[in-house]
Amino acid sequence: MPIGVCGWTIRDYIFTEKQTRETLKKIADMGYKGVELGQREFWTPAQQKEALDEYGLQAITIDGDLANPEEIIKKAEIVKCSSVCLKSIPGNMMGSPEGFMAYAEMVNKLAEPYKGTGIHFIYHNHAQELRNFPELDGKTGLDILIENTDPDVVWFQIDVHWLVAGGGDPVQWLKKLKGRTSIIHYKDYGIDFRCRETSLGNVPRQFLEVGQGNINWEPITKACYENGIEWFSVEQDQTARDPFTSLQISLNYMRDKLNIE
Amino acid sequence: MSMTKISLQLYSVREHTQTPEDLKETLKKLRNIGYQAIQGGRAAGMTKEEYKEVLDSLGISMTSYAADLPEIAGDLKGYIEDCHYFGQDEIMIGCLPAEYRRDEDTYRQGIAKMNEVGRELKKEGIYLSFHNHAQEFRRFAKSGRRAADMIFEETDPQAVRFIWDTHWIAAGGEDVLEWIRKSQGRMQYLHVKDLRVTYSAMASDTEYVRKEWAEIGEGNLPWEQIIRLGESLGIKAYIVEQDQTYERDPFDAVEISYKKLRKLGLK
Repeated sequence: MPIGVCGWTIRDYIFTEKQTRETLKKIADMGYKGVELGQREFWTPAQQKEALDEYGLQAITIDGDLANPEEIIKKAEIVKCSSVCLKSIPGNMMGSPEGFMAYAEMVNKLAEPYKGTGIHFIYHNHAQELRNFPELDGKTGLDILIENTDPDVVWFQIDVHWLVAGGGDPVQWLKKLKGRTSIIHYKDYGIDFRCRETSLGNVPRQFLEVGQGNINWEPITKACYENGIEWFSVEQDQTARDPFTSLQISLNYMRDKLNIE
Repeated sequence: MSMTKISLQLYSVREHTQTPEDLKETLKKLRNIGYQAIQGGRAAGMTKEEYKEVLDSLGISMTSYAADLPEIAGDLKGYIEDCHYFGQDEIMIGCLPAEYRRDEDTYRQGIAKMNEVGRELKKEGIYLSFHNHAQEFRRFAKSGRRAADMIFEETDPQAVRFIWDTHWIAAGGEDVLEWIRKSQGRMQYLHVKDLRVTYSAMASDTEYVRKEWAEIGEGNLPWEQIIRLGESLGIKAYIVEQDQTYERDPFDAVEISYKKLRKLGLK
């Protein structure tokens, strides 16, 4: 399966057309096959597709106003990409099962016009959706979303780091989401080596390049192949290095150690 | 002696074990919940003979002894006697003392100390066991190694065993199942507590993760897989430990964990 780049990783390098082209060239030269770029305002969808083609990159996701199905469906056809990013549940809805239910209903309404079009909404998790509700025997917000959204349209993009931050086992979640996921976010999870020796209860979590942290990638990668994941997308929210250096480190590890290609 | 597989680390109810009267009352409560085994160290204000009598009268056995490393090192003879007296072949340290947790060099000293103490104990048939936190999963800049790897690889397999903690392995971003699997032959007991994410005022900040210690089954750890693997590798007992129970009474919390472990097929 191909490996791509999530635009959030390179968000400071995609402001102008010139800069974006340089960035696309850089990641394509490294060996990345796709990108989640988001619609750049200096390009039309057709121009963006042309630019991606020029560097041999595919669009992994598209974004836009989901309440405007005509425009989204048209964009999906032009860009040749049927995965549309869905906005996270708003903070003020996260506090209760009812909030998650209300969000699920909202998403289902948005999803209705997309039934049968082949378009998938892609929900990307953070640790927040792994919040457990005691009144539901510890069931998570993510469970509520999975169980109560339209499986034809509403799919999920597992972010491995954030699942792990919430105590989730990515292998189990991949099994649970079989048939409703096609793109996964890879970023590692580390404990800051500068953490104070006295604070046993403290967990200073870090975003790290794939293979540089503590996540056990082999079984997760195996589960991805069993699940039928179509894209591995590298996201790193923060890095102590240059993000392109980080992207190269992640790619090398994924190709050489995890044999993803 | 019962052969129960569910035990409780008394740290979970530490507010209620500080006097002989409290401890007796607490053990009774635990026995009523269903617990037939505990893990702990010396009892405050009681001789070991008195303590054993209390445990025996309630039908509570021990699943390993526990103490701090410096205490054990300072009273080897006493702890060996204790272990023999209670029929235990393993004594757990909750962590390495802070002075060993600074960097790679100090961890190496800590490992040397564990090996030294462990070998002394082993002459008397007792293993020293190490219990982890998330902190051991930081990676040192110089070598790229982690304290957990050093402890796993450099402690003497003939003298040092592990009592890994499910919550803290997960909090370190590591794979609980993998650490159980690779410790086969060096692990008799597992510390079990769940990891839960909970609501906070900063709910809208996706970066913020409010992690809590949780009753078994109330968080997100894969318990069916953990118990299945543990059983296939011959884990002798699953020791419930919950560092904090927040609004909940600790006895209610450990009862929830007990019931869940029973539900998962343990007796």
